Amino acid sequence: MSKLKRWLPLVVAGIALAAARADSPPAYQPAATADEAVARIGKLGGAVRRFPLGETALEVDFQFCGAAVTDAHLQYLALLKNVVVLRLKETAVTDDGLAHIGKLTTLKRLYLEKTAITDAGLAHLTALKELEYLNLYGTTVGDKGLERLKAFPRLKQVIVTQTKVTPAGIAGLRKAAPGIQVMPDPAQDQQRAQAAWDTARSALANAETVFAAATQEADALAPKAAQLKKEADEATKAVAEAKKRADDVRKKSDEAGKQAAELQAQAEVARKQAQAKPDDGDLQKQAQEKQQLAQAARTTADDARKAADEAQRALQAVQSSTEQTRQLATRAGKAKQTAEEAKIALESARQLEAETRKQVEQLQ
Amino acid sequence: MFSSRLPLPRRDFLRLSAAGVLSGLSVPWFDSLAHAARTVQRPRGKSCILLWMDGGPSQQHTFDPKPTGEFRAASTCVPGIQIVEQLPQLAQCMDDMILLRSMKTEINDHYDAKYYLHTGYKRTTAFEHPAIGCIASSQVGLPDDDMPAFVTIDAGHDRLDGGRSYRSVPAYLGPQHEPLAVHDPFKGLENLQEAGDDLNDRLELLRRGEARFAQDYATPAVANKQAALNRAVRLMRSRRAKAFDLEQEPAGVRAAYGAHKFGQSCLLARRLIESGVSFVEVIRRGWDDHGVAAKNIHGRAPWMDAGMAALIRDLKQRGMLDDVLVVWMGEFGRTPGSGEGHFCNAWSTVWAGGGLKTGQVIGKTSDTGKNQGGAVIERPISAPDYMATLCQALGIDSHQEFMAPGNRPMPLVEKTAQPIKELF
Amino acid sequence: MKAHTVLPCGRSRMLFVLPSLVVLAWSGGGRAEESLLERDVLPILTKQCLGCHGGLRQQGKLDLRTVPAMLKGGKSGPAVKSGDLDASEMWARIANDDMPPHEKKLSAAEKAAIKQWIAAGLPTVAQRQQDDAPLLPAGSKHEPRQVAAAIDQHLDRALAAAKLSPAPRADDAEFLRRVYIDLTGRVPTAEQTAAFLDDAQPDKRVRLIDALLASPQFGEQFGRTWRDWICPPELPSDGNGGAQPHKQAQDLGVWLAARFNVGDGWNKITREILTVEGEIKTRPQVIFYGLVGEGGKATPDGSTRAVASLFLGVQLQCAQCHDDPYRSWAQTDHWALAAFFGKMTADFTKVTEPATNKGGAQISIPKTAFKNVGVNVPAAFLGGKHVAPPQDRSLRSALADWLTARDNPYFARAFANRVWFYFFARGLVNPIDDFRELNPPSHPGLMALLANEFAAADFDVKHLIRCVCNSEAYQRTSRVASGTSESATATLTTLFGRMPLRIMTADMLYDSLKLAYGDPKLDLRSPDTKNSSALGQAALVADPYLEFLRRFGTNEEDATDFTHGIPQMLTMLNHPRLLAGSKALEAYRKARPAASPEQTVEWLYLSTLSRRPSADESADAQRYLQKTNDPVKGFNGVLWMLVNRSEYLFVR
Repeated sequence: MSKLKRWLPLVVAGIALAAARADSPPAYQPAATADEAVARIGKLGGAVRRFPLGETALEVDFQFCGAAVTDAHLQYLALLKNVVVLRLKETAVTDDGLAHIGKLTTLKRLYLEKTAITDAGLAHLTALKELEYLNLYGTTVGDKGLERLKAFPRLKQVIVTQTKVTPAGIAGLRKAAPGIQVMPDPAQDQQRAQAAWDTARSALANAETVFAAATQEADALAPKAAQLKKEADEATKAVAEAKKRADDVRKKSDEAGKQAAELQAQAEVARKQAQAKPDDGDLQKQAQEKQQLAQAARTTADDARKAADEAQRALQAVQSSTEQTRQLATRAGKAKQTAEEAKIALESARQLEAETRKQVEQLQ
Repeated sequence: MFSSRLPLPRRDFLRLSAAGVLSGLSVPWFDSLAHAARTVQRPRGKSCILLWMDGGPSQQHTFDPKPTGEFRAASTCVPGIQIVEQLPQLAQCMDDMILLRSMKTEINDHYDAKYYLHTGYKRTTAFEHPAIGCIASSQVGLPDDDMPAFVTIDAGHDRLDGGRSYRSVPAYLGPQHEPLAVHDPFKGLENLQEAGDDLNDRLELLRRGEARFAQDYATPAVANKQAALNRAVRLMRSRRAKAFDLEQEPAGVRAAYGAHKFGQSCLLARRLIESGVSFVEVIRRGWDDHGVAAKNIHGRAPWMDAGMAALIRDLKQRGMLDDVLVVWMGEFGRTPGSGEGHFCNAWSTVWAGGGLKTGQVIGKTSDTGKNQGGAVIERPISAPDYMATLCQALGIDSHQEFMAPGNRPMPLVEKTAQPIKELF
Repeated sequence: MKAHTVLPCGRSRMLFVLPSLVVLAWSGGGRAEESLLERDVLPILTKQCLGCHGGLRQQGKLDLRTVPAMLKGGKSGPAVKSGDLDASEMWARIANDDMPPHEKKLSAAEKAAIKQWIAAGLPTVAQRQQDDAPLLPAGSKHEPRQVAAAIDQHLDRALAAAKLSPAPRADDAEFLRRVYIDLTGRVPTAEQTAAFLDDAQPDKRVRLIDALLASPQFGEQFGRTWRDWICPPELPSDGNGGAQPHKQAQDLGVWLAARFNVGDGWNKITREILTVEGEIKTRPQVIFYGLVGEGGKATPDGSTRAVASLFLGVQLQCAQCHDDPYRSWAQTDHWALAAFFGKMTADFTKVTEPATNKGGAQISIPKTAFKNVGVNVPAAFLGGKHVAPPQDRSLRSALADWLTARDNPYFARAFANRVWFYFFARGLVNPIDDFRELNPPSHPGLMALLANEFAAADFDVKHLIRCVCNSEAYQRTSRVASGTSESATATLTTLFGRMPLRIMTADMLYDSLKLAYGDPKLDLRSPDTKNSSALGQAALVADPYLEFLRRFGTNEEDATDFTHGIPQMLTMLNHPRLLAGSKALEAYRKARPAASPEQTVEWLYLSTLSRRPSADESADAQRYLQKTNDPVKGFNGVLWMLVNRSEYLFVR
């Protein structure tokens, strides 16, 4: 029997039905088997899903069904085995419904956001020894209800944001059952907001310092930037000249040195000759003359070398001062941009400080 | 490049939604033909909010500061983990976050990298691969649901990017997994509002003609079309579609996220997840800062810090953080230093929530010597590994195969990919 | 751009079924209880065995892709012996679960199929198919009427063998709309509709087909169909920031349109595409090569893949890196053909190739292949020995000569199969570019008939289409009465005993809407993005036509598969433009101020659903109009309703 044949009349019938019926949700009709329960849950707009925890764990999800799901409908759950997660956000479940839920002893996670349950209803849940997570966001649960949660041995997470629970109540639960993470955690929120503000303030302080320095530098240097650049260019030129001079002097010194060495060698030759023939008066005289010449040349060479060294030292001095001037000129040239960037950083740091301060203030 | 596939679409045409909704009333409570809800379904999987920072955000100016970097590091609420001091509120959410600092993904071109990081595959001209949002829609999206499974939100831009914009495509998973686009979070979903004031009357007129046609042409395709139309009307009429309307949120909450497009987009994302959407991608363009990362990120830090921290805190306080994975990422990072260029060799992505082992750092980049942050020194994460991890985190079986054009079986993620075990 | 869909989630095991043959039990291609090679055994082998015993690797030197290879066997001797189970080593190993060696063994049913096949003597579908004579002599062109009659003979014979009676003839309205959409890509206007419906001549359908083929919209529709077949889903771009060549792709469609309209033979058109040289400015078909490469530059393997699929009807891409794992194509087959593209340089903007071909033609298998890197493969035509290409012409020119010759075994039938697929949503061979021995057509005689006719008519496209459209098969109804068994319907459809119900492509829908609204610039983009510049996400929706194509794309591989979802439905339901009125309607009312509401409603029906409203429909519309109390609003509402009808979107 083909599927087409089966559904098409329903399509047509459904059209007629839809026109006739108003949008009233199906009332609770008891189901006989687990499969029927699953089907009826589906018709309500809910879903039963496998839950990835072991072979047979189930999740029942009513969270988009709204008012269609009432306390009575929760009786379907009794037919299902191993329901581990139950989502009832924004459904029409009340404290009476919690009585049915209380029988699901396999339940680990229960979501009751924005439902009409109260403190009293939580008493129905005491049999849920496996319960690890309970979400009560947006309900009217208060400190009394919170008290009851101390009795859950496995409870690890509780959400009580936007409820009537007070910080004192939260603190009390934490003290009695330190293993439970309660959301919100006003103390932690305050502490973290403070820490964020501290970071932002420190960043702001740093940004201010950097900005001040950059502005100062910009104020000092920027107007001089053109001048400094000129100076740097001139200094560079001066360096070039000094180098040339130093090179020249060095060259002269080298030549003088060479000259001196040559004359020294000649004097040595003459001296040996004179020594060999002590009687030869001319040779003695020559040797003496040569000796004098050599000495004079050596003196000249020494002077020249000193001059060269001085010139070299002078060059180095000029070079380093030029380098300084050049760096200054570069800083001056970028000073404005650096200051602008520092300003942007400062603006940003201010915004961050204001934002984080706002967070701290809101939590007080 | 053409090839055809099986001649008989293996579509379970019993997966019809209520056939008579064209009456224009709100959700009718008659014999639904929704086969899917009548049996035990597959596990739900987690929802995901992807904060896509388009252009390649600089890791050294955000979540992986270095001593030689331009931003200073500051402590977080987890001892031993530091991020830039310009993200103070996020620093205090660190115990719910995971920093993946060793992304190493081979591609430095914008479009190809966006493709790679959205699909886990390198782009080819043979066929398209499905993006992660479409994969999530297909694998963990609530079947036959009022709300769409995958929504993208345009969270604004402060400059044009280089390269083409990437758009998530469902490819061989089927066009029903295309994302719905919210072009302006302040305006909500495109075409959700009825045009004209007599929609009921027009729908009634339509319904009567449809009934006759369905009788004479009783094929699955017609049933599918009518079902799709029904779903669209259901969405328009659904209480849950109000999730698209930011005005419904209390002013205090709106203020907490910040009066800027990014913050309000994060808020819209939370609302959509709450109403049953499985995957929301918030796209913020303009992170392609060549050499001016410091200046630009100074400008962005206030809204990014506020918006993302508000999102994480809000999810946590509603008890949703275990069921929702928040992912912050771009398509690559930036060169260490001033962020001169694109840098795929060592960059960061950030996750939060999802019921994972948060409060930790995965991987490490070099932090001594001259080129700090220039290389991954511990636990590199490739794009396929990243995608495999993301799938596992969302409860998706990444080995599942689909038939791509050319009758080529393609797994959702490359078979050799290894998820990061330390997160689970 | 386009939607390429496949199996929905949860039903997507790696299943390599050869689709031509799924229903061959009913076509006289073998009884259902028999186990036949192509239909029953090969899918199992492909899934479980060919990975290790196929083109990619041959463990134990065993190749199981073809029967000769199985008979030859491997290290352990022949794998099968016809009719002799005990001597069939393959059976022995499968029976005791030695093979396959991994955990997923063959199921009992799969084993039974193989066992039966061996025992029965290795029967094949091809042996069982009775219809292989084309019924008309090859080599000469025939009258369309004759060919149409022969087409019907083929199909009716197969239907009779399956004990099925074909669906009745489509009524005039059904036929009219279908043939307009198929041949011109849009619905007929109200005037055209009325003229046809009221025409009392018995040969009006024949004349209509002729008229539509002669109209310029025929070229437009067929041109963009081929454009979509040629363009890959992910259009390449020339580099990271580069734009995709959408405009150039559209220009290609326009160029093709002109060729089809003028009546150029498919051989001429193909040659102009394949051998193009010069700049894209003057030769739009240059983009063909721009689309087949990487980063906008054509590669020999890219060109081969495209040419094989589009013009030869064979899939060679799997033989690029190694021998095709599942089919019989060898790597040398692929590269021998690729050698013809070895001397060409092509990118988005131009194509060049040396005019003469000195020094032979061969290609070296590149590093991107798995196997045989560096091996030189000389150029050879597919299925032929290698032949030294002539020295005085370019390589591509030589290839084009071979390809478009009348006696080329691939060219005519590849095109004919695509034409058949276009009209019937299903080829005679499926996948439509996977012609090979082990994937025979569902109606081999019919395939031969169409191929012969096409070749004999010098590849006259309009002639082939005329023959098909004049057949009874094309003019059958697509109705399915509620209560019919789905499998029976499916069977009838796959045997072409009934026309399929197809979804309008985005192009068809757009043009039809433009007609209905009298607005050639119909723009259905989001009002938010329309006026923004190319910043942010708005850049993605910059072009109304491209945006429409992207949003309303359909499943290219199965025209009967409805794949639109909520974004599409919401656009049709709520986009303000679709309720803001129609210029065509205004013009009609202006020209006929005395028209009654009934007449106007009838005009609206004629211009959208291409028929007159029934009495009920008319009454419903009048009721609605009276309620609205404002004629303009009322008629706009009726028009809105009509374009939102399933009947509007579907091609009956």
